[in-house]
Amino acid sequence: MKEKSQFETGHPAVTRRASRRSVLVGLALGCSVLMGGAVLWPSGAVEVFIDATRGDIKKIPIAIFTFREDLPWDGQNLTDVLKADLRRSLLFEVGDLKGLGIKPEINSRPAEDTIRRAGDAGLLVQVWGGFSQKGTETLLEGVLYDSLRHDEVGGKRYVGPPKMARTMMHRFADELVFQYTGEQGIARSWIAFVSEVDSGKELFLMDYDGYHPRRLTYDATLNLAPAWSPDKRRLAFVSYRNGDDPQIEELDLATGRRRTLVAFPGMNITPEWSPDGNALAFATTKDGNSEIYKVDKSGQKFERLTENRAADLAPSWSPTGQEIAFTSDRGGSPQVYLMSADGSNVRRLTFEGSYNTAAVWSPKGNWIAYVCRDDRKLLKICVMSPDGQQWRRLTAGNSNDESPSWAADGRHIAFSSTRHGRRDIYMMALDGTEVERLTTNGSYNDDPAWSVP
Amino acid sequence: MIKPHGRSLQWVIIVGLIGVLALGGCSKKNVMATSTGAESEDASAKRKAPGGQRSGGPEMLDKGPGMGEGSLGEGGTKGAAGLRPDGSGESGLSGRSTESLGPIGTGPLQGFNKGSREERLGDTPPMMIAKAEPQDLESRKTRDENRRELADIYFAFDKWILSEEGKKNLAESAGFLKQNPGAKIVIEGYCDERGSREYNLVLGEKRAKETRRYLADLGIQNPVSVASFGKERQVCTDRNESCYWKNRRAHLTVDAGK
Repeated sequence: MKEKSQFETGHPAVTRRASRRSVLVGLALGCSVLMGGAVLWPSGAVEVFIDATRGDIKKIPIAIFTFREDLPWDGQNLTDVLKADLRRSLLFEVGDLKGLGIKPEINSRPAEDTIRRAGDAGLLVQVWGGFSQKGTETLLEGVLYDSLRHDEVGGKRYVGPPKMARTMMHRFADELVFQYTGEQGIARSWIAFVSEVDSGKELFLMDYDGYHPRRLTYDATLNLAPAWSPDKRRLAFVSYRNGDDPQIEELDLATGRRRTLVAFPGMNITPEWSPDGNALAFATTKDGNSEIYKVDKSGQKFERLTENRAADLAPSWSPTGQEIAFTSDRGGSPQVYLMSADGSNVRRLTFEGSYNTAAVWSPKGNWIAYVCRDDRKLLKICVMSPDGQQWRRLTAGNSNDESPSWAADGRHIAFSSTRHGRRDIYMMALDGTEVERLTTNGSYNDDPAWSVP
Repeated sequence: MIKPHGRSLQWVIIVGLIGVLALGGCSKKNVMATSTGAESEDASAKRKAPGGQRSGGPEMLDKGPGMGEGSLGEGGTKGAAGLRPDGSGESGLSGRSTESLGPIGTGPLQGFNKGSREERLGDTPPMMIAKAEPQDLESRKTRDENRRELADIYFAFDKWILSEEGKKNLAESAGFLKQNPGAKIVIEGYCDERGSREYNLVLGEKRAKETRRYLADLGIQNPVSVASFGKERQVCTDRNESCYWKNRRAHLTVDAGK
């Protein structure tokens, strides 16, 4: 049967955590056998359940019937938002209903026979829904069907301002990811970034897919290096608004309140919140050269973590909060080092090449992404395991790529690149594939910082 | 299906009760039942999708007219077909209460349920926007206008030590500075684009401080402050060495008012 071969995957992962693990572990193990030694990519040492970035992993086949849009706007093709979210999750494969002779556009719920036919072709998970107006607000209703039961598993209803339609779809996508993997998904996440406006650089925020850009600052000076608080409510960043000494400030997104966190004489740069949100690590040149400090939430209690005649900067916490990766040129050129969160136990991580900076620790803990230089002195994005055993360069070509920032799923990295002329923000999967451009506003865009969902 | 923690279950119930009270009759309506099919097909009522644009300028909040309650029925003609197979209108999805996702729309995921609550997505931030104090901008402008520029000092790739030519240029500037011993000097360090942003901030400061150190060696006693802009303010943006070298510099200004 031709249709069947297309999605012949056996039973998809079901809803419980335990079985999700075993299914994905099984998939990853099968995958590592297939990979063999052909690629540098590691197979054994990694926590297998999240490493679903490779093309040959068995994704969960899903049928998406086109969502109705009974809205007073021209078609927004909101179904495409859901499809793109599920594609980016790297966990689902959206099935080709038309290829199976099934019409994706339906006006009422899919008939039992349709559900069965799609299910027979391997599309055991099926989704349909629609947008409508409720008063002045927009309502999304989405239903999840299971072709084993030929019936609905359950549904979601979201209501809110009309401009939240995409956001509702993102949330629905994350519910699907959660239902079938127990993971939070990233479709609800945002990316803070810096964009050039006139002669200044201002903070902006956008949805993780590049939509809904909104401006956060109007300073007409330099604002750099946004860093999310772990609760997604505040951004720490570097501001030059008080003159030549950049200071670290904090912006509360809900209230718009802004306060200064670190303003020592000299430069105060590269802030990053600890995973529990109780401390901010940063670099300051108040002691003459750049050293790494941390300060507690109250902004009162400072602790110096490095003491070295060379420059130490750009701290990034491990997800446990126990360790910090940072940049130091104590060896003559900038390299990535690791230390315990109290500043002890310093050791060098990177030895490949003469220039490695801007390390960011994956939220899953198993990788550190950083900026490396290729043999043409172009900046690229590299990843290394914290034990130094696994290394890979993720980007290639004629561009300068930098400012890596992890998605909360540990499977995606946002970065900035000059590959299309001006610097813009992109995302990619952890294996360097699935590159997607997120900004196209014709300005200079940099410093992406990816929030939690 | 998905077991909420004890606390969040309480929270759900509390918010749910509030929702029921607040929405009153609204919660009793069957939102699938009514039809606006004819209206929604009126092309003149259609407008551009709000926020449908990818990362351009600030978004337009183009709110359309309220169209009444929508329908997922078959073309809006069969009444309460909705999402139910039997068209009974007794949808498991009928909203019994509303769950607010908080001021920035980030409540925890609720899972799929039959008869699930309606979740309300509030607006996305920023709710308010932080503007710089006007006097900040004004004082910066005044300060910049009073500055006089000295010769730029250039550096080798990745380096912050002074070249012989750089030392020569500083020696020439030193003559002017000695005649104006009260003039305040600002040294700004810059880098080309081939270093990473954050390390270039440090590298730019090293260049500025190396320049300051050499001025001191020359006997300059003017007050000096240093700053670094890394690669944030490029004098040119071509991708070749004829442009790169111009950005690897220390830029010296003095307050011409003194």
